[in-house]
Amino acid sequence: MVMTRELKPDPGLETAWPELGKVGMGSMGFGPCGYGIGQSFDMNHAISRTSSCPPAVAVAAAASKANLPNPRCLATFDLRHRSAVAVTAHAIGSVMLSGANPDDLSPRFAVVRRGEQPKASVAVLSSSRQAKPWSPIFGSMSASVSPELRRFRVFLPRLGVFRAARGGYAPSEVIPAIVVTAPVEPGPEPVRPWVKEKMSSAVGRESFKKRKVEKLQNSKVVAEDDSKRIKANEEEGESKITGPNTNKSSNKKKETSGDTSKENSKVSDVQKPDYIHVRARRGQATDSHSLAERVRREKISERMKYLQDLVPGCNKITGKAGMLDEIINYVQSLQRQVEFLSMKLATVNPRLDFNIDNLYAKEVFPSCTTNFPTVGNMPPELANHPPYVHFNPIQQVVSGCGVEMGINSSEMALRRTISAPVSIPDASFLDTSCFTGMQQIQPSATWDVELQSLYNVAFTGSIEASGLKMEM
Amino acid sequence: MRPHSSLKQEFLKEWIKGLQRCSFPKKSILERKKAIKLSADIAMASARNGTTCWSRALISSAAKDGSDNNHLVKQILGPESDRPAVENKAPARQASVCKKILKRSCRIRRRGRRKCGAAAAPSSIAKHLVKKRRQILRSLIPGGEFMNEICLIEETLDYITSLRVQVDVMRSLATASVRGTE
Repeated sequence: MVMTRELKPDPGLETAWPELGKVGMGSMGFGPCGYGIGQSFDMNHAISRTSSCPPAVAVAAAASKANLPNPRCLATFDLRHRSAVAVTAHAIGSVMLSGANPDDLSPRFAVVRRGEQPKASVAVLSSSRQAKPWSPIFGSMSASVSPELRRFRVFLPRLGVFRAARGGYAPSEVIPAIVVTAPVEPGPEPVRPWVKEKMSSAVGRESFKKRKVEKLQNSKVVAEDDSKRIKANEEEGESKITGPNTNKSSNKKKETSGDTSKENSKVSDVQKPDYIHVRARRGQATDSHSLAERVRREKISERMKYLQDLVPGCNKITGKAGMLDEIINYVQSLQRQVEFLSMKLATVNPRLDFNIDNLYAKEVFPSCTTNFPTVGNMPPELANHPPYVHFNPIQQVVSGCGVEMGINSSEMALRRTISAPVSIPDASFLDTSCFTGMQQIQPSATWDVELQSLYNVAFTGSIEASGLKMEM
Repeated sequence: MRPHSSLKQEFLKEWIKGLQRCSFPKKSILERKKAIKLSADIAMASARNGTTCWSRALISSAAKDGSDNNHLVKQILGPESDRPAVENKAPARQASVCKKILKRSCRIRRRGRRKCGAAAAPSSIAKHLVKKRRQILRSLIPGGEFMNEICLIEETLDYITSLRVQVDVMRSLATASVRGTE
């Protein structure tokens, strides 16, 4: 890609930049990265790149030239490659590129922009619509790198910092700044491209302390555009605008995003009874869309936590997709159990009469104490309901089964002996033909106490069941 | 969590009532099984008294005019006046509207995706996976197509607890009846 202003391949580079497609990988093993550039990115600024810039970056640069409408990606290109980075790096921040890595932590490119003057970089900044990840990382990076940095660097946080042929910088200084981005990853959400920006902004929040006011102003301008873009892209809510402002803003609110966001933030703080009051967290956009989006997301994650408790075996899984998978399996298994049990009932009771009195007679009265004190449906209480006298036996059946009361003492002994390996027989019990596709049946320890008792009951019943083959 | 025992009792009551209302005897085992399952489902759904979406959808789908087991449902539901209204038309209208909206949004999304080019980002892959699973979950939960995400998860929670109760009660009844026949 050739920038109009200047494009001087670094004489120190091992490979020149004849064209974008031929970027030497240098010592970095970058994965394929694609990126695009904000539509309004002004490509008039010269860009110099070290040879280590991966081909994808080069492609992206070309794409940026063509003004790719990929709103998520942003590339900043430096003007000069020899001047100190200090000021410009502050202004620009890092460029987050959406990598094609299958990992969640896709490679992040922090293009340290070396501009000759802050203004130039700022111009670049303002022209681009997506300066989201710029400020934070660059703040830190510039602080550490600027004295030594002489040319463009493309930093891949995970792979390390690329060293230009003649770069005198100390990679160790830069890497920490980049690596910091990694742990900030939000947990259960699938990583989206803008999440990386979020991370970078988080980093920037932490590390960026030295921004000058002018840069703040400039990045504000950029950030405002970014926030709009963020909204359009369903951003996570962490706009980069906050980067320069976190130092100033007291805590929660983002001040800089400009009029719209100010209004929106006001709206969010308005004391109206029918509004949902959402506090914009530090480093997050305050426009209504992202706020609502965040509220919705929090609701969803809260409910997913409940589901995690409900569905056995979900505790170890953190991803949304994995948890949904478990939930689906569980629901399917429960539905199959219902089918199976109804079939069993149909076979056992050909007349569908379910003679209650018989059942009642066969059941041992729940005189013995239960192991489960949680059950509140003690039979004496049930007997007090005159309309349901008819159902008392059934209720006792239920309560008995619920509290392991409806079982003979001998059966109880039997049950206790088999309670240990009950999980396996459970699996086998349920693994009849109806459950061909059933996923793992969680050990009963993770299930409800009552459920466990019922499993025991069912197990003993299954041993005696006539028409069904139980695998042992 | 809601106490299971009261739910169980209620479910069992309704179920037995419904079963007794079914016309007996049925010849084939499948029909019997169908009757049992249907009455159990309806009992489970009515135990919620129309507070949850899935229960309403379950009853309405069972009571749809064109379904096979309509007569059974009518029998079971017949004398009951406190059951939630069989909303045949409202869900259908909702369904058509929702489906149209979904189709439109899918088309737009597809167009947007094409514009972005080969966005093979892991985030989009993850989104796609999650979306797929959500679709599956929607198909599992009765009435799931009409819910947004938050609703879907709430309904799933409720549905899972009800299914558990159903399984527990059925199993205990089965074992009790098995033991009773000996």
